Amino acid sequence: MHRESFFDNLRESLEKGRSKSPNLWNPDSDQETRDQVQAILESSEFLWEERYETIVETARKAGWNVARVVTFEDLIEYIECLVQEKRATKVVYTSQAAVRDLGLDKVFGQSRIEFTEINDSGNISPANLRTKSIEADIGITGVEFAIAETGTCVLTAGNDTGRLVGLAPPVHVAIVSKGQVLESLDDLFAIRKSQKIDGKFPAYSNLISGPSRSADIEYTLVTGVHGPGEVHMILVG
Amino acid sequence: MKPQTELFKQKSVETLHDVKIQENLSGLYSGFHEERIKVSSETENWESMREKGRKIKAHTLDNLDKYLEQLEKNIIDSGGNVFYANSASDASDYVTNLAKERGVKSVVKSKSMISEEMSLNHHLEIQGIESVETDLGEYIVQLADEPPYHIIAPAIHKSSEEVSKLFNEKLGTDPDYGIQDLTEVARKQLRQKFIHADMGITGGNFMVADTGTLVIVTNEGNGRMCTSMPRIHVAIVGMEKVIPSVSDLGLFLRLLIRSATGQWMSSYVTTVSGPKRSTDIDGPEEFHLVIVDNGRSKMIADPKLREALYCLRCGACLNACPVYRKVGGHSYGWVYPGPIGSIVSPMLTGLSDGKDLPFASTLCGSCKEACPVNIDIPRMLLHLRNQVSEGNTSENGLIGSRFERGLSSIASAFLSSPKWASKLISVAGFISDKLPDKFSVFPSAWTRTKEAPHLPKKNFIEMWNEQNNANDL
Repeated sequence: MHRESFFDNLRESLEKGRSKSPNLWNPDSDQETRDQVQAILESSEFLWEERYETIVETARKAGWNVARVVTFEDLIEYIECLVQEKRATKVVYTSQAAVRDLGLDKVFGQSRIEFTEINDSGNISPANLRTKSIEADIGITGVEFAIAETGTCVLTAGNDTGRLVGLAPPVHVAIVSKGQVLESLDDLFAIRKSQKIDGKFPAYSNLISGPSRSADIEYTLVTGVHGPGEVHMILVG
Repeated sequence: MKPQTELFKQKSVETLHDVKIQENLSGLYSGFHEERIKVSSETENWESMREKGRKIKAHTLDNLDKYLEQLEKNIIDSGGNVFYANSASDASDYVTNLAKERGVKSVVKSKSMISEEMSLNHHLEIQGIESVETDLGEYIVQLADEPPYHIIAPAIHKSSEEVSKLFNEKLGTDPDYGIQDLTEVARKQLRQKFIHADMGITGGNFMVADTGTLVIVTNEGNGRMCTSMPRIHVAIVGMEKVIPSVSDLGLFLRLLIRSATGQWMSSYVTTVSGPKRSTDIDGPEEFHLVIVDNGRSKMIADPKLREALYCLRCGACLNACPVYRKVGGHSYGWVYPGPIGSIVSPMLTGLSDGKDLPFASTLCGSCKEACPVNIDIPRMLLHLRNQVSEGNTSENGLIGSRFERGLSSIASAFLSSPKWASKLISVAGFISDKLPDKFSVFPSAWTRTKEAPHLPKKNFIEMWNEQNNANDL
């Protein structure tokens, strides 16, 4: 009933105020979108070196700590240093391949630091997984994409990515791999369009560009309001 | 929020005399306004982006019914619910009933201007449901029991000392806390609220029709929390926030973010398309989108005012406005202050109470220049002024109008004849010379604060003639 009266009212108002603006709408066809996305993904593979150079600049400007590592060993060393520096006792990480393949629980098996993989294996109850993320000192994730234009990591919820891992802990480490860096926001949204066409549009995603921040008191910038106050972007390769 | 637009003059005067608030407001210019100018000048093709954004908004509003239906279909397909609310009370009834049905005890809220239209916190609280604002600025004004002062910086009128005192009174924290400490307190307090909340309520900056996606732009991360922790997510959004395609989202994000805070990109852009998928590890089990009219269709029906609904709610026109920067946000008496508020508030709550708002502008055009979709605010303010003076406010504004028209027809009769005009000016000069500086013959708000100018004894034509006569000799 609400719906009907809402639309009746809206259509009546639209008719009353009808303007003569021409219909400029001309969306791309599905095939055009697919072709465009194909080109975007190819260029990201091909131009990864160049994109890394750009995103180092834009991400630093956005407030990320940016590091480039060549090997997995370097990456693990970086995480080791960070864990020590933060005196972290609890670390959570996603079960995305880029993170899981590091075998962090084994690498740190001898230490007293608790590493927990947030996954859907059912070994830990959902309520406990939630608590693990909330109590962790550091959260480590991969990314779906990164964006050179804005210094952004795109974190997308799924069966290998819990929503809280890159959100609840005070420190977030995002691991970016070769070929994941898109040129612009428009590239990402072209990909989203094609995901919709193919029925693979994600329920939930975040474009993350730097630490959590606020200037709500006296325009003074503070970080770490609700999300992580310290964020690290590690470019691998 | 109960409109108090009729108090504009009184509240403006109070704000103008409040030294502290004047000081706190002064940062708006250097803070947001200059940053916006800087970052927009660094953006390639800024002007053509504004034009494109404007065209898309015009097209969307012309076809709003179709895009809403497309949005609705996509949201339902992905497992979400859509409710259409004709009025603010329809919307708050839906949300409070849903909360009651689902046994919700506590709600966390991310910033939403439309929930202020609905006084949603109040409606939830009378049902015994706790509703906590989680944006730092909103949290502060909620503790202080005040409405937001600015669209994107709700507590910008408060100094850190005032916030410190407020936290001390309400939360028992150290009264000497600085900004970093205060933020830490808010983080801790609100983190517990997030963990225990059953429902997260957010607004939305855009709704994308072709993918069925809600887009929330934030910096603090409370928007992410509200959409990750509680088991139910309710988003309440004005119906004009729809855009046709995800392909244009990049354009609109750049326009909005760079105009709002002058950031190149905000910390977070959250996209929500329905509840968690069955394979997702976590996330809300239910997603409800409440699409609200609450007077917006009236603006759609008026071709002269429809443009006001292009608004992205970035707040750039507030920061640019020399009037807003002096009279502050509360003077405007409703949810939306500043230049755009001077159009939207009277339209949504009634022009007869809000008749002073369209006059709260120097028509300098800074608002139009700052607007990311080039909304012609001065034109609409003039249109509303005209309505007020023509008495189209459903009240008797006609008396002033008749008086003014009478005066101007007498004036034009005199001024259309050079001879009479010259005589009139001589007489006026003679009279003004005899009057005291602050004359009280025609007392009004204007004459009370202005000094009466003295006209020269001779007018230009007389001087010209004298000069010419002298030269002739």
